[in-house]
Amino acid sequence: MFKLVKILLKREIKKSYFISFLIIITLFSFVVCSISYKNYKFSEKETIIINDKLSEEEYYKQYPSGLFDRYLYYYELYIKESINKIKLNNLYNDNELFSFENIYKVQVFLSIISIIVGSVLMLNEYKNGTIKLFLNKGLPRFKVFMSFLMCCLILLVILNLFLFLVYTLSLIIVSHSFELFKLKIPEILNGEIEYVNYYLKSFSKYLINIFPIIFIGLFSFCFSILCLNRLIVICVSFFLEVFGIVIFQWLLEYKIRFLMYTFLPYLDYTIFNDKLNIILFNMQYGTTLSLYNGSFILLFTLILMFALSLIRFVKRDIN
Amino acid sequence: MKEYLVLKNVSKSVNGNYILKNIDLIINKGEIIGIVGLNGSGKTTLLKCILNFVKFEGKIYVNNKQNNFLVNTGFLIENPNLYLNISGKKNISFWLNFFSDIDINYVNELCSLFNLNLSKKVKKYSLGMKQKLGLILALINKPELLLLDEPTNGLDIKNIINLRNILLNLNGTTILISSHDINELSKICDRLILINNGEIVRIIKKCDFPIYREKKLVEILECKYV
Repeated sequence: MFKLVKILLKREIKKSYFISFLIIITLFSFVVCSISYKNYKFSEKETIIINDKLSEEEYYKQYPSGLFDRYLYYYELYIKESINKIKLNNLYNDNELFSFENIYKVQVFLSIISIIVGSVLMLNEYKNGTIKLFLNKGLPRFKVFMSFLMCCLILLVILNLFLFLVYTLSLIIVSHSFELFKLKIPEILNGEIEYVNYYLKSFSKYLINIFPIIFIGLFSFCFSILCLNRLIVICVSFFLEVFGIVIFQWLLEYKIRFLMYTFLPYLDYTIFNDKLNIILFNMQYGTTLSLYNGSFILLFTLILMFALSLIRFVKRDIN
Repeated sequence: MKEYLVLKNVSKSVNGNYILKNIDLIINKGEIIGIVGLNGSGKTTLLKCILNFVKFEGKIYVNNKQNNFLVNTGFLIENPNLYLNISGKKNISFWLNFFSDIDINYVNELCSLFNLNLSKKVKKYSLGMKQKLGLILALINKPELLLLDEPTNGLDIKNIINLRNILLNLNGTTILISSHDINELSKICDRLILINNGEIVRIIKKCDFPIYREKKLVEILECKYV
């Protein structure tokens, strides 16, 4: 089976469409990185004087436009380091290198590529009839399916890691320095303030954010086996990716909350980057959106899709 | 001779209509079997059942093992299965990756025998060229079991003779060829199996070939020659 995965990977990576995706990602990353670096604006600074721990309500009376979760963060700093006057956002935002956060704008583009990679990989074999030749190489259908799935997964991970690498290189080139790797930000870990490496922290955050992208790619892959029509697969996947969250929010207005147990609100993890947004969203609509729930739901959906497509592939005739 | 391929009570139905009905067949190692029948008689479906491409009732044993999947099998069923956007050479080299003990000289010999332009993209190939490439891919690993469905489609007389010689020189390979051309099959086959409406209606031994060689298939199926 691993031999088949290796052969497939070797072939796919050499294919012109995959190489063009890598080139497009490189160019797009460089453009987004240079524009966001040059035009990086520091956030407006709002001075918060911390004397006591405020409740959320009290806080919003005092600072109507403030960010409560950051206030709590600074309150902990106030306790630990006796800071009583803090300019909000100044810890995180006063450096152009923080434009690294714009990598998520390029990542949106990556989800479109994932859909194409996922839907094309096995469906092309069906179209050419070459899937029959794969079934004839001494492997049971289950293993052939697993090999294609693994190949798809590895390709998606490669694409995501490639983006991170390229974006890092772009920022290094644009900033003419390696400061990105040295930059430290304060974090409260186990009740203690610690200065952590911004780049490594971004990488861990990025790894969490690639989960929905891998999900949509594998979803397209499994869906392609189920309906065997490339156009339908790409259209449905695109629709879900682009309008999934919008539809979810729209239906929430009509108190249709069961969709929070589906993958729809979790197709873009960048909404979880700002914890306050999610807290406010959950309070407003009575939902329980969280990264933990999201990961579980995405995994469950993938397992379900995997099982259905595997049954379809193993049990049905191949003509 | 050693039994190699055994079909026991093999049936295939689609929406209640039987395409194959209770096929029982024993094929020995190294035998060349011709499957003859009219269009829609179930020849191709029988080959697909052996290859496990379609689900069927009954049992098929290869080398005394029930075949969930086959090892070292070559086939050309219906249209050749090829990657259209790459050259013939790349098609061959991709499938070569799957075999560890490939005889490159044999592959080169096959390519030169069929006189195929391998540098061209497959989508620019004619029907005959695609058929030749499909045959090369089926034969590339000197398979133990070779299944060919109408292999002479689109081939000129020179290439039909070449194919015939290649098949006759494949020592130890069990070959099943489906066609409606009894005359052509009788030149290479050890036995002919006549299929009509999904059922085996007659098995013709080599010694009886001269009786049937020049007869029309429809006449044979109508039992005019016993």
